[in-house]
Amino acid sequence: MQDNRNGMPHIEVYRASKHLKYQHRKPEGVLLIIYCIVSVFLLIFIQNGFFGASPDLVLVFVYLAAIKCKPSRAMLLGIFSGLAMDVLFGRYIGLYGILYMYVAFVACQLSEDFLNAKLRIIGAGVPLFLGFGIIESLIIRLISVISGEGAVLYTNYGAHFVKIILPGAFMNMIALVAMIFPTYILWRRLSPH
Amino acid sequence: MKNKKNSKILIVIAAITVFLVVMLLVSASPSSPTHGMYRLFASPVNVIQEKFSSWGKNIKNGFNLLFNAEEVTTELEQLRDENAVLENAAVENEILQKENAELKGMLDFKEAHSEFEIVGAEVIAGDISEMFNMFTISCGTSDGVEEGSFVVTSEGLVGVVGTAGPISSKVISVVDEQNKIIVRTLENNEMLRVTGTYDDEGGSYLRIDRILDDAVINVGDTLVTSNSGDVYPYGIRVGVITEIGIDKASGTRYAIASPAANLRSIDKVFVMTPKKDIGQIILPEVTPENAG
Repeated sequence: MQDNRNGMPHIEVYRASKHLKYQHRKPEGVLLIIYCIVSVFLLIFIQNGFFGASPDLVLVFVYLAAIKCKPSRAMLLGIFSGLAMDVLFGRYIGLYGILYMYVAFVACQLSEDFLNAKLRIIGAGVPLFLGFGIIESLIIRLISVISGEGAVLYTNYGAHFVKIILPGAFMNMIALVAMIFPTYILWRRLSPH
Repeated sequence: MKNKKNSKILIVIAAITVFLVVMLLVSASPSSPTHGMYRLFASPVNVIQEKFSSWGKNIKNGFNLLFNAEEVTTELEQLRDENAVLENAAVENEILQKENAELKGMLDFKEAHSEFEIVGAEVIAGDISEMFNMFTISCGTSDGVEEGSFVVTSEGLVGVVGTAGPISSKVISVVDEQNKIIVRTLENNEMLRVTGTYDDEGGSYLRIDRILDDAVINVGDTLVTSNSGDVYPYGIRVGVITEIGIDKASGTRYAIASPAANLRSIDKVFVMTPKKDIGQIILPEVTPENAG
């Protein structure tokens, strides 16, 4: 097999390049970690004090932060944020821990090239928030039915999708547009690099 | 090597997922020990949450005043300063009357249920999901609140305390699917079982099933707690029957009721906890040695 200019076989270059997509994501400094923790709690307070269930400001922040982090850090942020929501104001411990962890994981998989433009970050949020709403609703109803509280999963899923899931995703998109610039301005200022 | 790293990452993700799913299923029961984390962490957080809720309400009231101010300004153009003073006085009077009626209702309620301790609280946080029927109130075990204490307003039953922390508590509302209450109708004293029901369009209501064929119920009947099982005292308003129908699957009657309390807009609630006995007082035995 012909070697490339670095002396590595082509197949190794291909494998290495797949993991180079995280190379621009630098390790977070202490300030950035504090910023994430403070932001999560502040957004929990604002969401509960001013808005209620929708928009999900913490979800939006986890999505925005996960794009800038390496997968392990992003997922850690997702778990921490979700568990904070669950323990303090939630019904089931671990529900939002799992959901936010996977949101962070999925957001991390988006390539650096794709996410160069803010519009693409916003655009990528549409299927993510819709998917989040669908899965969140399904898990909650499943738990309710399995634990014997609820009789059926859904009686009218179409109405549920139109009246609950779609408006929730729409509100999250509005929050995303409002939060993207201040979040990333502060992120750049607090980043060690 | 890369494959090994990927495998490790996948194993870690799978392990975390399994752990969180197990915790989720365990915490589905309100009496689960996992809710102990709430008692541990909630106090400092809810002190701050209460402030944010207060600011949020003030901002919402400010927006309402902004819209009302346009009507007041229009009337002021016709009647000038004198009408503005009268309008303000009327609004204040209405607010005071409303508060007075609510407090009087609670005083009558308290006198009727003197075997309970009643603690006032504010709602400091609502649902974090559109599909839960849960909210957080600003009183906890330090105020005498216990898990299982029921929560009311002057309109009627609101819910039951699911998890009680030191200074805040999570309340599961009466329309939650977990709640099954035995009630009686005020009009005919019929005993019925009411269950909270979730509506796919985001609403919640009370469903009455297992209605006996000879039970006399009508639309508009008021449902009150029946003192069955010593959970609730008799006579707390639960809801009003709004619909009666026949279940197609079983052929039996069912009914739908709307909750007595307006659960979308509750702000202040009262938590009722049974009063504790003071216990038996044991007097020391009087003997010739210790007499006098």
